[in-house]
Amino acid sequence: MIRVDNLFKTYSGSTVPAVDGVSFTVEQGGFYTLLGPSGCGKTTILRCIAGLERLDSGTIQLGETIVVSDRVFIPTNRRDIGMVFQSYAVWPHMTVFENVAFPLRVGKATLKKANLDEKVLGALELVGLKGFESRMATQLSGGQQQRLSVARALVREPDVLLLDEPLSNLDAKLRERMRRELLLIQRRVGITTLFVTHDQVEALSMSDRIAVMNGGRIIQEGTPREIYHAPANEFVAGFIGSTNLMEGRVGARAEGGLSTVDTPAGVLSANVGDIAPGESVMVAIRPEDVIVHRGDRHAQAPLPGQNVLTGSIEIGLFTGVSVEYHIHVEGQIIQARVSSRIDLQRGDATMVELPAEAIHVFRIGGPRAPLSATEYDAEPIA
Amino acid sequence: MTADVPAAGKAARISRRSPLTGRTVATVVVVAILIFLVLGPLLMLVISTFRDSGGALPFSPSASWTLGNYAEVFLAPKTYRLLLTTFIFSFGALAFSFTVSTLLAWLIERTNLPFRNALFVLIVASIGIPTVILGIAWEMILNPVNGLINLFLRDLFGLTGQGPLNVFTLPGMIFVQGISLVPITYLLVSAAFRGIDVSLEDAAAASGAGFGKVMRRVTLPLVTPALLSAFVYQFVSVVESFDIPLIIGLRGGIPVLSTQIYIAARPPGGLPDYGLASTYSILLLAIAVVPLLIYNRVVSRSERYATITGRGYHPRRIDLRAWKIPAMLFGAAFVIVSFFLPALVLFWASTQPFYAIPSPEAFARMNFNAYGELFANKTFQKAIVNTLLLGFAVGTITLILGTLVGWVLVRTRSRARFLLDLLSFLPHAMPGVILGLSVLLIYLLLDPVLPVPIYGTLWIIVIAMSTQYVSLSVRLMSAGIIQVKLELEEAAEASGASWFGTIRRILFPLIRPAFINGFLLVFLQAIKNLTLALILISPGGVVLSTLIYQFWDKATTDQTGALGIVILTFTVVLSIFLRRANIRGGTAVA
Repeated sequence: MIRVDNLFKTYSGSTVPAVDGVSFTVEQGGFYTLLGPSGCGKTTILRCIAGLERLDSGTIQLGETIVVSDRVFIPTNRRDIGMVFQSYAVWPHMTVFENVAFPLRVGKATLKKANLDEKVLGALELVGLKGFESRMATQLSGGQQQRLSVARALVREPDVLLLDEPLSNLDAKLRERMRRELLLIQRRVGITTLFVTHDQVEALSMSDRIAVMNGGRIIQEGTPREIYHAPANEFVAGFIGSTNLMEGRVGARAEGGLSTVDTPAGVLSANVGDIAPGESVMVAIRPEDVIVHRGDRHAQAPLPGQNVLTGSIEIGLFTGVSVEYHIHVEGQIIQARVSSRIDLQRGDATMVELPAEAIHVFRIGGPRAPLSATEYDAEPIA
Repeated sequence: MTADVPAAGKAARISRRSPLTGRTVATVVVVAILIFLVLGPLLMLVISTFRDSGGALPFSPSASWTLGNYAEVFLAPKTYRLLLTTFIFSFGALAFSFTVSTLLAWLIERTNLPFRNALFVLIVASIGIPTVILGIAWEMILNPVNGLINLFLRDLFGLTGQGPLNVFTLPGMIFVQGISLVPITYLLVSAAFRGIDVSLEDAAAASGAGFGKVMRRVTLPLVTPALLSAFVYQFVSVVESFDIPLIIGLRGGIPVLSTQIYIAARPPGGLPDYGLASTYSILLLAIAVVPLLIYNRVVSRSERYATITGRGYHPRRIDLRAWKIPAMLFGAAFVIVSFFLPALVLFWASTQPFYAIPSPEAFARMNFNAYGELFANKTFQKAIVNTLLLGFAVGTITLILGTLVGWVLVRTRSRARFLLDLLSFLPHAMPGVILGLSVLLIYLLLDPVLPVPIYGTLWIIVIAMSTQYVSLSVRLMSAGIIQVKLELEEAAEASGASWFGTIRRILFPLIRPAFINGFLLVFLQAIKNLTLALILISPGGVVLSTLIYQFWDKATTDQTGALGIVILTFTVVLSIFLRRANIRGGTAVA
């Protein structure tokens, strides 16, 4: 269990807090992810938990032990943690075996040789590195070094496992495989895990719970499904996955609990929650929720909440799995991600359908995604 | 799992503000040591400039406070003549060494000069030649009475009397000092040439610029910052140089500031005037420190030249064509003048019962008796033991200190960093003569209260040299520690290792190559160093560098030659052991 309470941290020489009042709890055996753009404070929190960074104020509890509070600071080497670093941090002057044995050898309790061998080999087997014991650590490939550093973090059976962007140095293929392997190991060992990443795919696919961070604060916390399908604000909608964002103004209440929202692309009906008529809002819809029909005439009269708009194809980007169409609607560009079987050309007339249940409406002035977020998230989610 | 971690209720009561960790203790200890080593002597120096000792020690009760030393130094026309000589000597030697070095660097780095690798090795190997030996050899070659070249020239042209050449002149000093500066200058300059991204020159050529234009408009502006910083760096080296001004300058009655300080502190007859020596030191210190401050600014500015990357260095070499032969002759001439001729002359002298020009009769007199005598000489044996002890002690102390200071500088955000940076830089700016004098002063004062004697023993030299080379070792070890990713240390801490355990089991094994290399470098410098040894040695004490000076001073040429060859062999072999890569690092060697 990890409990972080009201954490504050400002680096010397900076006026902006790196961590600005963060609290969260990781349940025993849970896989919890801090997700956010670089500079959002996620790594600082992880390093505070490890004791590699001092906090200004706040409390951190690992298992039953308070490791940081107003009166207590337990140094890193006496915290019951295992940590995996972004650069693997595998010691180049040691063999694979020596790397993994290190945490056992520097510990207070001296183990018998047989006992130590057993633990080291057990950890190496867990990560699939059995048989590599006598290799020098630097003779391993990137993925193997990563697994070695996981074995080293787990060998003394710590209370918590801290993962600092452990997959970001691997190439795309390997990263995908390591995601699966790392999660399998975590499930098998059942260790409480805190994972820090800027990669939404890693976060969504591996976590039990995700905290999305920006500007030193947690701005939404929830399961991967909640975060993806019910973003709480514009930032989360923009940062996780790609999103069409338009400004709009809430209009009259309509039937079925829906309201009309006036946008540059046309009048849409959507669930606006408790936002009052007349308020300015941002309207978000994910490209894969946009439905595209060929032609400029809808077969039948649109149902309420179907939100059918007319447009023409600006450009289509074929990626194999899908096609991403940029569609001109009343001077707005709406992105749609549809089956790659649908083949439309530049200038083709289309009907664009924005289902009301897929539309999210936020008040203007909430947290926003950084400008680069859309670019950044252009990496396909599939 | 949580067995040895205190439970929440009775958590360890360690103050969050100032936990007494290994890193805190290490920081405090190195700051204290450096303050003692660096600031202590400086303070003594400044105080003694205000003390009228009248021949007594500056801190003896009979001495009084005075401004007389400053009056004596700054109001005397002699001081300004001294300054003028110092500047002519310095800029002359710099002009010589930069012209030769830049030509050599360009030929070796950028042209198809034949045998350029051999030439490079020979230039770098001559870093191992102690300046004192170079000076002695050139005195044997060019002194007006029986210098070999003079004897040869007189014979050739039927001249009589002395000369025609005389090394005991300002041009003579400039020439020999210039030669001694070349190896380091070469390394600094060639690093600048190597640092150029050649594609920038290619781009200029592709834009239609000819060879001359590319050189003038692209190459030179690009290397200018590096050349400028090399110039300032070497200016400091030459202003504080001591060996050549001592051996050639003082014989010829041409004092410069460094030798003037030495004369005041260690007069050939009469009592030392420490007050006067200290005041001259303040003057020299000012001349040396101001350029270094500029140097640091230039260096930090030149880092902004993003083009100096050293990446993708595959220069197409310029075809020298008809210039190949003259260029080779130039390279050969330099190597002869800087290395072979001095070594040969020393060897020749060592085989001759009395010094003579090579002739059939002289060849008939050749023998190796001098070596036998030398090795049987008790003083020589003592000097060997002392020198090795000195080298090991200085190397060990300096490198351990350098590693700890480097670690604090690189790895912590401690407020002590600024202080440590300054303290470890100061000895580099402090000319050897001044450091020697200051250390002498502080141990004159401390000796009565110290439990073990330092003054008059080998250990005072060890302390002075450790202070001098701490700058070098901090620079080397900081560079070494930066190479080790911080995460490797953090991973050890996260695995449960203590600060000391992390240093011992992770950091130290990883920086061991840099450590050993630094040790050898400091060891070599300590053996070559005549300045500190000569100022601090007691009448009964001896190391190799002071011994050869004594031999030479007593004009026992065969012994001087033999000892010169022994030292030369040792230091040159040692310098070849230094890893080439690090020698190429260049700036470290000084």
